[in-house]
Amino acid sequence: MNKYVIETDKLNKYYGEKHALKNLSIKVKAGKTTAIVGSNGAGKSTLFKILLGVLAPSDGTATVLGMPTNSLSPKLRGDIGFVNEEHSLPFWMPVGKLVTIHKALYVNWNDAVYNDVVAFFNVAKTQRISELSRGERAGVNLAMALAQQPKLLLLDEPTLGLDVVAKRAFLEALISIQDLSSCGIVYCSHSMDEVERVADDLLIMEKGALRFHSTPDEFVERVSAWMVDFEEKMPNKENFPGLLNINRIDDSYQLVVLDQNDSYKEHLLELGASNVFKVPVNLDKAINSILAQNHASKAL
Amino acid sequence: MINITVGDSRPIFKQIVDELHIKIVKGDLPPGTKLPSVRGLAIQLTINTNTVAKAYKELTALGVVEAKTGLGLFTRSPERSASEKEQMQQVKQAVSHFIADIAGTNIDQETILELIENELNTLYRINDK
Repeated sequence: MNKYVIETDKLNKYYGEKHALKNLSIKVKAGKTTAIVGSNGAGKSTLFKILLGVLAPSDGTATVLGMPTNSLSPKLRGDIGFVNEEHSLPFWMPVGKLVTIHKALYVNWNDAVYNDVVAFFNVAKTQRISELSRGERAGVNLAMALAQQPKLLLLDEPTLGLDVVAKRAFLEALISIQDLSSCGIVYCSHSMDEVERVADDLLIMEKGALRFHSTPDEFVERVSAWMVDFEEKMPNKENFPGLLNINRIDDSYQLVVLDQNDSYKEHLLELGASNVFKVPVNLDKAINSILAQNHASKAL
Repeated sequence: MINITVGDSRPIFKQIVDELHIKIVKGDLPPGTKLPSVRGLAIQLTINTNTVAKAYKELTALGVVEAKTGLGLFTRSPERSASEKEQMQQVKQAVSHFIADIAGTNIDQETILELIENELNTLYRINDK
């Protein structure tokens, strides 16, 4: 069994002049949940399209379950589950009928998995898709993707637009299968709350390139935040090693920095700062500081 | 049974370790109490099963829970087996985390010390019983 369900090597994608993916080299482990986060336009959708074999790489390679994505066999395609935020299912069809059709399409279909997952949602087989709420549609979609017993499950913002109850049901259903399979799960989301709950591994993408790859906990460890006052003019930002982001809060500044230890305090004091103290950083703040890094200059 | 806060500066696995550890030391979970299964607690808290497994592993390493083959994980009486130096290290680390967490609040030192003292009193009174 392959250790990685996805491997890309120096993957590039151009749309005309636009460089959508830049030398992307990533590895996604089997049996783990990997979250991919990034601002809009970070290249997540382009990456998904390449992984699904819908788009061809311009340059470099992408393999899924050991096969190049531009030559995925029908059998291998059956090993990839995909759920996106649309949850677009044929609205006129009763749920039971839809399930029967899917069952015929996938050789590894497992009724027990379908029933276990769909049990997290209040869905009857006789209901038409059009009668389901968005959350219930998401549930059916997830249950069907899992019932095909995929080796790779791609989830592209699956909880977008769901209410809190449906979101919770979706996550619970996902967690209920996490330890039961060796399936690699890729979870794309803008919700740091969800990332913190489900992710073993974290990939942060920015403008088509990979910025970070580590566990969420290790990533948060690397980021620290400091509140400081500057009576005189604030020094130029080149004076702050590891600087990710600066925010003005009332008369003080909050500096978010990468890979700096507690001796950073002395450094700040030497620069003429006063009232220096360290403030806690959570995953949300750490990730947003990376994504907002390009705006750091504007804050000054 | 336990609460976690998503968005906290402490990782979720650490929150589980701390909360269960305190409950065991305080006696809220007497020795021999069965803990929920990894999957059960994961679904209950809506968090990754690996996160719960990691927390349970750490609690086992701390010697406050033990696995009974085929039965699950049970609490045991906390042993004070760590050396004094290790214990000191542990306390120092906990204190620095605590300080980082409260930095930025406007609560005065006296009130904070009082709160700590109350907690310590509760802890040791129960342990001495």
